[in-house]
Amino acid sequence: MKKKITAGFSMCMLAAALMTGGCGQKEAAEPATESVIETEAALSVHDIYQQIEQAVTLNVPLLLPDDFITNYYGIDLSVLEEYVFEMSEAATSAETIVIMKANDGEDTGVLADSLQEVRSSKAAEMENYLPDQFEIVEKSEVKIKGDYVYLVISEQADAILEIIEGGL
Amino acid sequence: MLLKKRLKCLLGTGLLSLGLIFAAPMTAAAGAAGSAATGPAAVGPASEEVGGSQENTIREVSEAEIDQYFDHTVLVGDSIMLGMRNYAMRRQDTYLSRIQFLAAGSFSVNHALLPITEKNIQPMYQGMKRPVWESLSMMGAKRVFICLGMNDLNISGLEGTIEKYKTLGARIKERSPEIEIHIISMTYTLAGKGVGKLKNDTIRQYNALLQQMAEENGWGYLDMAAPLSDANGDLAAVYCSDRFVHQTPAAYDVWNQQLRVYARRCLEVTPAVY
Repeated sequence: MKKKITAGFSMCMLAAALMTGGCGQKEAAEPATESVIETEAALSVHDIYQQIEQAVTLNVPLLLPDDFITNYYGIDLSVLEEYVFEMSEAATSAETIVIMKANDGEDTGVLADSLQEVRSSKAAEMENYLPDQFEIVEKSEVKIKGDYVYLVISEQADAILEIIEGGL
Repeated sequence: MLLKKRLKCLLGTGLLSLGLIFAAPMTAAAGAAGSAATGPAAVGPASEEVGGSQENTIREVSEAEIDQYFDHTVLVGDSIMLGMRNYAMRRQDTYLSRIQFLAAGSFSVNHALLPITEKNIQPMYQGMKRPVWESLSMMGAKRVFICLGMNDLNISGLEGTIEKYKTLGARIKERSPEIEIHIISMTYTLAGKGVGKLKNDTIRQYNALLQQMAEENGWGYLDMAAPLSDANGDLAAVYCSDRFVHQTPAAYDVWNQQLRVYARRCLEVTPAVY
């Protein structure tokens, strides 16, 4: 949900309605539509994640501790302004949602490489054991948008990506 | 000195195993309480080797010492261990935060020995897949518990898997000569859900071979199968999350408890370090 700045043009609309008054009761009787100017102020990744949690039923989601993200995935958390790193607690689910915002856009390439490793590792784990989960991993993609890098591996990836991309 | 320490720990393992042998068969729920369950007879290794030793005095061990036992400890395994890792991640305010993990779904002894490729399965450490022995060395691990075999039996068979296990152990020791190796038994499938060689009678044979391998190499052995099994020697339904082999948080409560019991047994026969 983008932050909205509303500029009321109601007065202008009202004036226009008065000027064209005799031309059509119907139009004049309709309520003036409030015009809205939207600005692209991104939500925090935590707010976005909260929206995901509200909109989608995740599979026993587990937020990874910082040590884990650093030790195993080799991600330098100091280059991140904010992040959410979720995986399913169920060992038989590949579900993964990662949204990271870099302090500096120059780091997004390295961060994307790290997420690509995560994705590749998940794919290898699932390929010969859980074909349905493998398929979900295969469909996933590491994405970069501005200072953000994100990866969604989920049966509900489309809905989740819509929320993420709508919030950035 | 190192060998002595190992023997002491093995004695501890033996005591734990003997405890399992002599305890009456119990229900899965009772198994969760920690004392015993049915399953393969776990014979305590090396008990006669230390039977006459003067150093067998069992000492008091505090909970804090048990917590400390898990510093520099790494648990290695497949998706079953991945479940334990995830369980531990939810409990970072306990001693479980001290344990490190090298776990990956579908991981096997066979995979562990293969070269690193995009398709090969290896647990990630520091942002990339690495051989287990390399990761353990980088982690500065002093103690490793390995639980593998679920994804091996249908590929390498029992003896083939054991041979590969020995090679894996040797590579770990080559890279980290001081490390203690402990083998965790393979856990069972839900009754009647086994496939191919992944059947509970075969798993029992495999576990006996694992225990023998551990004895022969001076490694510890922890039986996790019995405490998680029902009266028929299958994975208890209450501990199974997918009607196959994967396990519930209640099962990992048992893992948690058994690891601590094992650590206590090891520490009880090891002189305190002040």
